[in-house]
Amino acid sequence: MQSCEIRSDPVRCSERKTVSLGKALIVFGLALGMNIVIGFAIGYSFFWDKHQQQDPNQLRIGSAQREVEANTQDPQAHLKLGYAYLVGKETEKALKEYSEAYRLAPNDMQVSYNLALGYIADKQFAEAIKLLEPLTEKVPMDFSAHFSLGEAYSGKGEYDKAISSLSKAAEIKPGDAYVFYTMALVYKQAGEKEKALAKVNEALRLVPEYQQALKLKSSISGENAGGKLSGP
Amino acid sequence: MGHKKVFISKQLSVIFVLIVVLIITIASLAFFGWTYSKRVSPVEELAGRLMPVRQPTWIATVYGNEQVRVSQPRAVFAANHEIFLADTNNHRILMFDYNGKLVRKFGDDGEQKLVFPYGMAVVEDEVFISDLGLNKVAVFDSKGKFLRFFPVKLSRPVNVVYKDEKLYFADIGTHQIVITDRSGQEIGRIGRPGQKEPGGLSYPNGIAVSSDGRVIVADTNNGRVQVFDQQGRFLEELLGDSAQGKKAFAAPTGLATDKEGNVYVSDPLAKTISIVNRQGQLVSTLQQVGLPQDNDSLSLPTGISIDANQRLYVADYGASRLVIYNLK
Repeated sequence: MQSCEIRSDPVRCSERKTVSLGKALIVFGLALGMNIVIGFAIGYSFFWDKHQQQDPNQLRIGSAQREVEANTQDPQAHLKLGYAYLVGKETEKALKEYSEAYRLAPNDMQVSYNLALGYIADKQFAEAIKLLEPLTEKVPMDFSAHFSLGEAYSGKGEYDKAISSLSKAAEIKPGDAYVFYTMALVYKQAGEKEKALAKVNEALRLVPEYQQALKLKSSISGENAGGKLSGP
Repeated sequence: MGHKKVFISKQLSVIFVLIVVLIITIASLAFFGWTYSKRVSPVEELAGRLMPVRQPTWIATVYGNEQVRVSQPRAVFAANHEIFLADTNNHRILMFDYNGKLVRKFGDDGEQKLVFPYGMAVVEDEVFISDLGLNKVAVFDSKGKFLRFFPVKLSRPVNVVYKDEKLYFADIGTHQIVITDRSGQEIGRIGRPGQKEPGGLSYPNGIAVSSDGRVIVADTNNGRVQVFDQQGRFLEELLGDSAQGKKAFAAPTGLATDKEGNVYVSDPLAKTISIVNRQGQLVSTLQQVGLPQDNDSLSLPTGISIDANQRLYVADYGASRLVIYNLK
């Protein structure tokens, strides 16, 4: 659009004071296009498809940390945080929280048990055994305590004691295939392949499609046949 | 075609152009503002209507946030760009926006507390929640304010579906589907306690009503999915891949249908979502959560829902999370 400078010619001046429909449409199109482009740019930058990809472990840790901050003297809050760290494979931090819970509630069996789990995760098997043995004496039918004690003995290389503890766990829960699988692992580590095979078969009798047990069985059978030694 | 010109005075033409540009800008602001507030892009909406249904692809997994974490959710309902999740173990309902961001929680405080929220349906601005602890259907508004108990006689309501002015309740106490109108007046019942025979139901958990009015029922303890007409007459059983000699479903729990009429069946014991076409044949199964390298899968999928944009929502009870998939 030009300004009309030829004042002496009103007709020409009038013609030059006009806007063609084509030009107007171009302006409208540009305005619409710019609005759409800006609208989409803002939308995809700030509002749409903004799914947060959450890490459940970090969420669990963050949530437990808040609880600890709010209740520093609550052993349960420390246990929760310890568990969150343990699941996130942050063993040192887990042990620290479990130890704090134990300091606050030394007679709480749940706290003792969790601290023992922390020690097992940190491969401090002797410390775990110290905590778990009294638990199995206090509550002889405590499946978890017997099972974890078995794991701790196994980690320490005391296979007979491990089998003894795991057998007690199996007596309490005879339908738990994982106990038999763990016993098979212990026998395998102890070099007693026939007993290991018997226990893995027991696990498979309970859960025929138990993949880990099937792998362990083929591993043990492979060793028997002179195959290469490999873990489950 | 000649080049046609419209002659108007300069001032008027400039004002006219400015007004139109202003109208375009205001309309764009209003339109985009609406889509921003709903957190859904117009492309997504359009694709939901135009694109064919495909194999589900994972979009997101929602665990809540540090203050409000999901625990053992039983049901999910998605509509109008909002997601309602029955956070059953925490006795509450969580409401998320379209991006899975928590908007509010309700039902765990206030005038009426929920005990075991199990199934949900949103009817206009009201949220119907079947509570297996209260053995009642509680009605809240979408802001989380308790309004009333729905006046329907049910023994043990586990699920509720709304379609065409009717409410369908799955009642595991009477082993039937109870149909009512919006006022709670009973219109009819579907099924009867039974096992092998057609129409026999045992702990029916899930309901879906297809676009042509067929009532699909997850006959959970009988391990099958049956289809009825609106009068409660048995029509057929969805066989899945049982034609190949396999059992189609272990314990079907949740049901949903997509725009093409495919039926999605959550089967927590099998840890899968089975997708069955209109002919009742198994099309595919869904287990994967996240990307293939994440090596994650559904734990105990219970409630499922599909929204108008063809997104599938799964309440994964075992892993305490909501999983969102794209179907288009």
